Amino acid sequence: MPHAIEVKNLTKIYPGGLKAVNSVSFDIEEGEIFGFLGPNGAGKTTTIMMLITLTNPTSGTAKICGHDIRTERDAVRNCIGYVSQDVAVDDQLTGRENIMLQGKFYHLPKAVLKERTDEVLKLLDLADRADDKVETYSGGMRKRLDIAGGLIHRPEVLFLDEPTLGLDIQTREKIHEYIRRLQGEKKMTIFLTTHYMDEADKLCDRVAIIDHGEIKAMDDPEKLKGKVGGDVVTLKIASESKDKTQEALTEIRKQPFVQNLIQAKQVPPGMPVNFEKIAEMMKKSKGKSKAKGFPAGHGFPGGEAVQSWVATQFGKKSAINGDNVFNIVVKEGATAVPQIFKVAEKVGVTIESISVKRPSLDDVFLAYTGRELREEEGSRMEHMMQFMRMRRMRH
Amino acid sequence: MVTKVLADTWYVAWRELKHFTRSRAAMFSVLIQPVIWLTFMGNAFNFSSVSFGGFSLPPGFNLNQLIFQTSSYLNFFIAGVIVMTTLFGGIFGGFSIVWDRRLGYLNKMLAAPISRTSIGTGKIIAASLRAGFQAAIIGLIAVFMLGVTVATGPIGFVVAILIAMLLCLAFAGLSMAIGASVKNMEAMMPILNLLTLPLLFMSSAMFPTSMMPSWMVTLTKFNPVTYAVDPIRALFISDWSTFFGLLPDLAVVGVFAIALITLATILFRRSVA
Repeated sequence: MPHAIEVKNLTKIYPGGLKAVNSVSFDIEEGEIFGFLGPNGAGKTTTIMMLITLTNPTSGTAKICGHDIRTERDAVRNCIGYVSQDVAVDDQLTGRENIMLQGKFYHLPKAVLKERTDEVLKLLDLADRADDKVETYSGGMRKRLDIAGGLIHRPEVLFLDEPTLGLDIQTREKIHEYIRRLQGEKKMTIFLTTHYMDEADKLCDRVAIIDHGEIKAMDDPEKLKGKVGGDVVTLKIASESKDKTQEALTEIRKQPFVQNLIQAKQVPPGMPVNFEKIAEMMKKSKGKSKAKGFPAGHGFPGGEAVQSWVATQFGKKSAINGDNVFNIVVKEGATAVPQIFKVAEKVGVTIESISVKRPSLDDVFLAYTGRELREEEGSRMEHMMQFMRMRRMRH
Repeated sequence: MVTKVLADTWYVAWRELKHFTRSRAAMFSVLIQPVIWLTFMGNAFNFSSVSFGGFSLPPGFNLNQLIFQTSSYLNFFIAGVIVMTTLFGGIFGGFSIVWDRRLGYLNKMLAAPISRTSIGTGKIIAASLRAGFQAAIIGLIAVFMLGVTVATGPIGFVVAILIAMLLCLAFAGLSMAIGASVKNMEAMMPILNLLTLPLLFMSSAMFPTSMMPSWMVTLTKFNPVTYAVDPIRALFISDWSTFFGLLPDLAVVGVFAIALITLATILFRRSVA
């Protein structure tokens, strides 16, 4: 079977010498969801721009649906759909007009276009608002409209550049659902970029970690995480007496399966945060809580942010307490847990909660690049773009 | 191939025109501004009943006739206002390309197999159609409400609007060429502002060249605006034969338009390659 996308030594050096993409090679199977994961400025968008024929590669090439991106541009353009991170929909037109116009850009005959427009609007659940001006749409609806437009010519390969950037959590979930549906029902190959770990993890069949224009690792998310090492068991001991707790910890450290044990300074990433509970609390306090500072649209970078947010919204009591919480790195979490219970019982301490976590893609990224996902300092222009984007998303 | 380019051009233009017709505020403001010029400027320069410190003109002598070659300044000025409307409409026509670039809409178009040329030309044509519509409305207001006369009749009026649209194509081309190279809204705005007023005042749009010092007259000869204003004015205040005598002027405007649209297309194609 031919690959939907074949990339060979693709390189982009901007005038001035910046190597945005450095000899990147990969193949994407038909029907695959492939994720490009990396921080801002890693080269994700530059790679997409080359693949969709908007930027010329400095060297190397790629084939999409068998067509060369340098020599068969119109053939490539006909077989791909592109949804940028900018939510590029026209405010002054209605949803339907936006889609029809985009169909015209792909030279679809009138009758086909009419039918397809209804089809994609329905697929993205926009049919009932199709004839309203986009001005009146919410941020999530605009994004859906933008995606719908990218589907009008039934592309074989769909490029999604940061599809959930700046969207709230519910909307992100919705978008994920649509993306899965496109893969399942429409058999579409999907290439997406993201800097959200959880998005890459949940959505992608395969992930490439890109940093400074180079692919550092590429595999399915589970295997990538498997390469990092053991599982993390997070343990909370009921604070009966400090001596007993210390004794229990000493005993646990002695176990052969334990690789490391550290006290969590605060609630570490992976602490069993009860999201449903939090969602429930949010619902109850609707209107009362300012819901400010919640890391919306930024995934859950870890327990810390959630903890402090919960604390500010609902008072310290409800916040997750970091005392007596320990992280134990073990070879295999599932078999370690009963052993840990045994030790606790022997020493006579009560375990209040315990959780096992596979390493996240955050850990993978750290392992392959030697640092955490960073936010590159953007230019003034980029900041302004981001600001404008957020503003448009908000209403 | 050709039909494809034409179709693409039309859909790009269609979108621009929708923006215009959908926004009542935009439509209102572009119409109201020239009307203000007409009423204030037009009446300030009325020399039909002036008196200079006790000395008044003999009855039946119209100073307007002497200076402007027509009975009122308004008759003279209408050609200037029509050209001004289309000049402004054209010179800000390239703005939408910068705006589309910033919103990401340009990339959306470029990712489609749409003809590259049509993106620029579609916007240029839309600017011209829009400006032609405005100019026509203003002309009609002037004729029916302010008593302006058209010496060559309804056909002359239509021809006048078409000439103005041709000038608009030229300046929209210039604007698009700037927009394709500057790419940045903050830099584009002052450049365009810098262009408009000299273009307007260093032409025969506002005042007859007979009132200008010779160095200024020389400058007006290098200004394409003059070459559009004079034939339009001939249609309003002279006759067809004067107009036909000015056909070479129209050729200048036409060549200018073709050159600038070509330049815009080249620069735009280069900017997206």
